[in-house]
Amino acid sequence: MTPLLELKKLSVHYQNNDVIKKAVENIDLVINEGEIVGLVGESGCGKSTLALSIMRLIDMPGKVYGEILWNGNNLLNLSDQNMQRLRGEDIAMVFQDPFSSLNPVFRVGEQIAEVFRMHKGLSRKEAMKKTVEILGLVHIKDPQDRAKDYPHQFSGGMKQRVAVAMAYALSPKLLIADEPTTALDVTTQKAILELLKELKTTMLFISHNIALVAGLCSRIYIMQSGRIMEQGNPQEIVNSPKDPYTAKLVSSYREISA
Amino acid sequence: MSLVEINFVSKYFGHIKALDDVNFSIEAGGSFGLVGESGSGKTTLARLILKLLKPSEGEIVYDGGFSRKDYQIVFQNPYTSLNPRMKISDILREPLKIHKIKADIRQILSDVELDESYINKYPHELSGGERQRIGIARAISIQPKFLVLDEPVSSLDMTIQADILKLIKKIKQKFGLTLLLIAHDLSVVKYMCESIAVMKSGMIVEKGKTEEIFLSPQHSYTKLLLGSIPKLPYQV
Repeated sequence: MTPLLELKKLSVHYQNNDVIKKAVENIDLVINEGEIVGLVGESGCGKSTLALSIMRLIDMPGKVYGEILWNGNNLLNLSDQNMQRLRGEDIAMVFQDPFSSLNPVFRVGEQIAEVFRMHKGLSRKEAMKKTVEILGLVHIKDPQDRAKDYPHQFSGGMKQRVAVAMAYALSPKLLIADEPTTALDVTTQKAILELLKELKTTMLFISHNIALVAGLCSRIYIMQSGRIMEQGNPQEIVNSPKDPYTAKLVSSYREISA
Repeated sequence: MSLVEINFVSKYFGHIKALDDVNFSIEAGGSFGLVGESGSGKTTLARLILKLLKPSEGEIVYDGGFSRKDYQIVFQNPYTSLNPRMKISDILREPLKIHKIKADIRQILSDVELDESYINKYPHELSGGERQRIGIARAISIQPKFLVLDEPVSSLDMTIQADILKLIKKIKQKFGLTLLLIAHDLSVVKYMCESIAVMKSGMIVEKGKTEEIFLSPQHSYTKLLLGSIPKLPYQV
């Protein structure tokens, strides 16, 4: 069976004059349909760069090497136009900070409706109808009215629900969630996790929190300094980590939350 | 014996009630944890205790009176709480100058487990964990009695969090400090404090010994908070 997404020797390098910074180095990673795959690492290890490279959102002077196989086709060879179509329809992303990922000067509904208008060519009216539906789906109460609000009128958790709605609008086959709960309170974090689980979409879940990922994912990749140190199922990672860095991640968590 | 007594304190900002009849005391030599989510009033309470704000109602009583030198704070974000234009040595010297205290910068650095090579560095050359060590060093350099730690590890990586919390424990021991630890992360507070108070919407909804609260939380909000902590599964 072909995996839904397969990264082969993926590297992202940033070159500035003679200095090359290797943000992501030689990564092999597989996501099969229906899986929730976790990517765990600490700040600066390259998690977000990896996510952005899958979406082909790495700008100059960044360069991406290797292969990003989507149903067997290399995304790096796709035309810009086709890539633009693929973003949102096939692969969509939820970002960490719902306070900065929504545009403060547009109504929440308009921002979601834009997805339907751009990708599906729906009229304003039709797009708004779909928007209200999807807001209801992510459990925003009174979606008809709330669609007319601006982001600042939403709490952090509700903003993240809106971001999830926007990502999920076109029912993508893969959702990349990059630290989707890090900026939220613990009780809100739990609610957003429940919501993501409800969607039952194949997901790459990126987080620094090993416990969160171990509880959610069927397979975990551990990343440090741009490289994958170890991969395995949560039980293996938590109980018998092979890499010393994985062991330190687990023991730090265990120590504090003992 | 309590070092700080917060007696039925309320604080209004305009018509917004940030603190509502808060009442508890902090034992001398103890570690008191203040838990709650964003916007619950934790930081407002810390600012009142440090006399950076005045209570609208109620009063705060300090054993032996209040002096700025004795009541210090470590801030949440080590990236914004250090002046980027000042060398580490100057950052550490500033409180000493203000309070006219003579102390060896090298000794202060070694208290936070940093060597003298940091003296001439600037904050941007330091990692988040190292910066937070400087934040701690600055607060303890003038040997206060009481230290407020306002979310001291929430912006740090998990592996670094453990190191910093251990350092704080060590320093508390060495200097005989009384701590008020503010955190949204219950596990951090559990690891550090013997008593805690849980805040919600400016009110203390539950307070007591940490162990008892974790074992049998009474208030529904405390239960909700405890139930929301991600637990590491598959623990052997």
